[in-house]
Amino acid sequence: MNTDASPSYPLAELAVLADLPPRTVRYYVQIGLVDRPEGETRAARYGARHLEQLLQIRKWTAAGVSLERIRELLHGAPPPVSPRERAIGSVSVCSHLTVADGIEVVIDPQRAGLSPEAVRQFIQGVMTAFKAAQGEEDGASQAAPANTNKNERQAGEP
Amino acid sequence: MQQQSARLETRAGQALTFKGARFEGSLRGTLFEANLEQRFANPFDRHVELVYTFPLPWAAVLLGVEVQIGDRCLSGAVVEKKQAEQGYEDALAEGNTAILLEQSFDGSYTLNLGNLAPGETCVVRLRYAQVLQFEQHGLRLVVPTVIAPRYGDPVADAGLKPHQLVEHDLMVVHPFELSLRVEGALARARIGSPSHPLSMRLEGEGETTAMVVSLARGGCLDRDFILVLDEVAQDSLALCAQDTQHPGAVSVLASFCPRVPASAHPLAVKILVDCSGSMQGDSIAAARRALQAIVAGLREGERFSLSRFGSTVEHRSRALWRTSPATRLAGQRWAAQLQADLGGTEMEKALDSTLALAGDASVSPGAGEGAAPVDLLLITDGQIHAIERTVAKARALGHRVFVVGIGSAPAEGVLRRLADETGGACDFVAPGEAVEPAVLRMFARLRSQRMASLDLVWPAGAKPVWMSALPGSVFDGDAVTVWARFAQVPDGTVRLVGTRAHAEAPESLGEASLTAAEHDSALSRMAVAAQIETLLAAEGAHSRQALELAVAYQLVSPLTHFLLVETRAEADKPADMPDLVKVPSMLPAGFGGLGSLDFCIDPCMAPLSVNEAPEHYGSPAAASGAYLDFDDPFDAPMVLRSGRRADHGDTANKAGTYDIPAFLRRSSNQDGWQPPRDDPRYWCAEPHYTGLTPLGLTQWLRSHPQAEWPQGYAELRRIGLGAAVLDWLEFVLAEGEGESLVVACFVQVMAQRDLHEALLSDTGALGRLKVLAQRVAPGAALKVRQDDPAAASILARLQVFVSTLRAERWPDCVFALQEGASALEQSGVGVG
Repeated sequence: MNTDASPSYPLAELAVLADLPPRTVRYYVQIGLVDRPEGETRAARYGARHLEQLLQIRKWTAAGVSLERIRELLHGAPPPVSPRERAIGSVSVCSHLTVADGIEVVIDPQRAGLSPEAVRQFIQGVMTAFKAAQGEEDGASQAAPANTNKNERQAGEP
Repeated sequence: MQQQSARLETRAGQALTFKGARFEGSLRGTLFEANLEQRFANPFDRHVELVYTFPLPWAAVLLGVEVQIGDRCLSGAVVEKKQAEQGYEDALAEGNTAILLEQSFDGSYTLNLGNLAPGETCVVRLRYAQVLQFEQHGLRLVVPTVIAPRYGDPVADAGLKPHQLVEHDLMVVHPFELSLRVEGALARARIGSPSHPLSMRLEGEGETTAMVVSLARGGCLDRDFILVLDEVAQDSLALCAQDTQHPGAVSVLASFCPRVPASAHPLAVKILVDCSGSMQGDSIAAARRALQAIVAGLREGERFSLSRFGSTVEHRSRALWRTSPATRLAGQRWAAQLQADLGGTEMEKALDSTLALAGDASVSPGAGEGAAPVDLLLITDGQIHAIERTVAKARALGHRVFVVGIGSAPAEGVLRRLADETGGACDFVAPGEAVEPAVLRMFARLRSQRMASLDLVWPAGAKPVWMSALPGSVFDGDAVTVWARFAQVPDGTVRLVGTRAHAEAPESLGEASLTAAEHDSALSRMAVAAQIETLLAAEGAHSRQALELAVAYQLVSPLTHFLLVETRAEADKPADMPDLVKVPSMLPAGFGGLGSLDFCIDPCMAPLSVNEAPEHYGSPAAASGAYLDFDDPFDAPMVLRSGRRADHGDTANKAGTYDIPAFLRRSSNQDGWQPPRDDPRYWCAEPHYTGLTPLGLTQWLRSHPQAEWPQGYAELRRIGLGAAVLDWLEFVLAEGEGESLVVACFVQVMAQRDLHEALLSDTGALGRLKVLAQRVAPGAALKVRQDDPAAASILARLQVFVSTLRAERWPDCVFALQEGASALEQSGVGVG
């Protein structure tokens, strides 16, 4: 398709071509997934570039990719294959959570693939594990097994 | 990127587009009429399109929409969905102002305010009505204010369009005002609210008495408003209302308060608790309290099972337990340990798995005397998108589903449908509300006499043109509401009759004489709305008749939308498409453990809790649902799966960073052999039991020196013995004896060399184990305090227990929390 061709479809026609409801097409334009049309209100026209973007979005949403993520992908973010190993010298932003004085957990949820919920559960597990370990020094060791279970569930996450 | 900046402003609270909601209502008898006023403004310097998705109460019928833009009052019409959408798009393309109110199949409403000019304000007034249902001698009025984040894919599962999705924002605050008039006899009821502090004032005297209820403190749209009216005299009634379209025709609302005797059958119930992430915090605490109350309220001889679900399902028992002191204790312990840590909300899978729990008389002997059908009791917040699939699944189960809805904004629609379509019932507990009354009400329903069939007897000669379906079951004190439409005014008495399962003659459950209604138009249109709902359920979205009725009676439905278009002067028209501003919803109070209505917020948790909604997770893994996938054991490296170091195993140590340096390891009993978790002979991982198998335990004991053997329940748990076996030891075997003695006896018996070998070669060699058990004379090979008579008794019972052991599974008596001897008979029956 020649992307240089002057845009020629009104929104309704573009929607038919992309096999999406007009409202959804307009929604994608409004949230910035699809580029704005050329021309004012009634004269607004869309072209091959817009159609291409729409088809790409349709493919990704069908595969269950969230709109936020699609926005990143369309705007030059890395492809949805998370790199296994980080290059030396690369920089990432992580959260540092203080469990106790001298103990800190560093989490990069993006890379760990953890949902906020899972992160919280994990931290709760760490907290109880810490408390259990503290208690164990005094001879008591009640809480440890429960944590093991929790960690197991955590472990299921890629 | 103007869009982005608009959102940022909103988050900072500087430029709110939604100014708040005002709610007015009046309750007369069981008819509740309400006005909901929503105020919007465009604080930006460009034209915007505001989109706001909000809930209306379950079974509420939207009767009218009024819009005021600036100081211009406008009115629109209800038209067919396609036409409305087209009209809205056209209006926006032309640069005109348009307002579209959509109803989705999940019952939520989406308001679209297209092309609101800079600085313009808009007030939308919605008028709706609903008929409240008496439940166990009380009325509960719920005004939902927010849709909570739900689990699942809103587009694929719930059929929502992308613009209709609810976005939640932790930072926004939407004020909410409320004023209610409770009129007539109800004004003298006991009135309270578990959700908001109220201020109340009595107005008028005699016939015109009304109780005016308002919020004592400013409210927010972050929790359902609940008004509970207690100690109300309830009556059956039948009201006739003139049809608004066809003169002479009438619509009838008949409401009965049936009297149903208690059932003679003992109760049998499978309890399923939602432990998904959205239950975190207040909700799971309420679920725990509810379960404690349920387990305590079960009577001897009744049967129950306990399961919890999230992404996966865990059952506490393999079959239904008979209520006994032991099972009650085990149940209460299980309830006390409940955590909302199972991830997603796979309700369908959970219903399936729970159904598969053995519940027949053949598995639990002694239930032969009038084996009652098994019911399902679900404790959940109902926050799922896959509503249709789940309801269809529940219907196919064949169990009645009873629901206790929990949380500050439970998904009432889903839960009501689950209960109604399976012949069960639904009850709700708000955070901070006592759960015991709800549990007691549930027990009253569960123990209520079942009716095989229900019928409505109209006065002689009167035949309805259409009548709503009768519920699948009736419960003592729960109102039964029926809508009907007649071509001519019927006169006389209408009766509700029911027939018991094995009875010949039907018995009368309630009757009411037909009287003319005061509020004609509301009632007749509500009857039509009920008919549309029935048609939609039967024929789906293509029902021609439903569409025609909805347009004729101007009712907003999933097939019809409200549309209003205002033509603007050319000069006022924008040059461009309006910016989209989605009105974010507040996060329901206490949702997902985000703060608590019971306790204060733990400061160290707060920053982690933002963005609870499953649909918000942006990572590709999240998008594909992989982060919730606990099913596939190969997802995780071995070292993580075991939850313990597996560096003794043969798996390559892929995740080296997770390993703990040797000097940090606990050097006690875990350095010896560890059971391989992927070998089913040693380690069992099933919904009802996760932990060491009998063979796994004997192997562990053989590979560790006696000095390291467990001496208490906690140590047994640490080496990997599952909760079921531990509870059996503590509640059944111990019979009041001390922990150390019981554990010592158990460990000694399990450590016998012969037993290990027998289990190792176990190919169904039950006979060999029996011989073995006879050889083990009390205390012969065991060095446990032989002189202790208590030990002798325990050992004797353990012998019986050992003789039923299989390599890979613990005997049924463990899961049924029964004495070994009776279980032996059972398994004998099973094998023979």
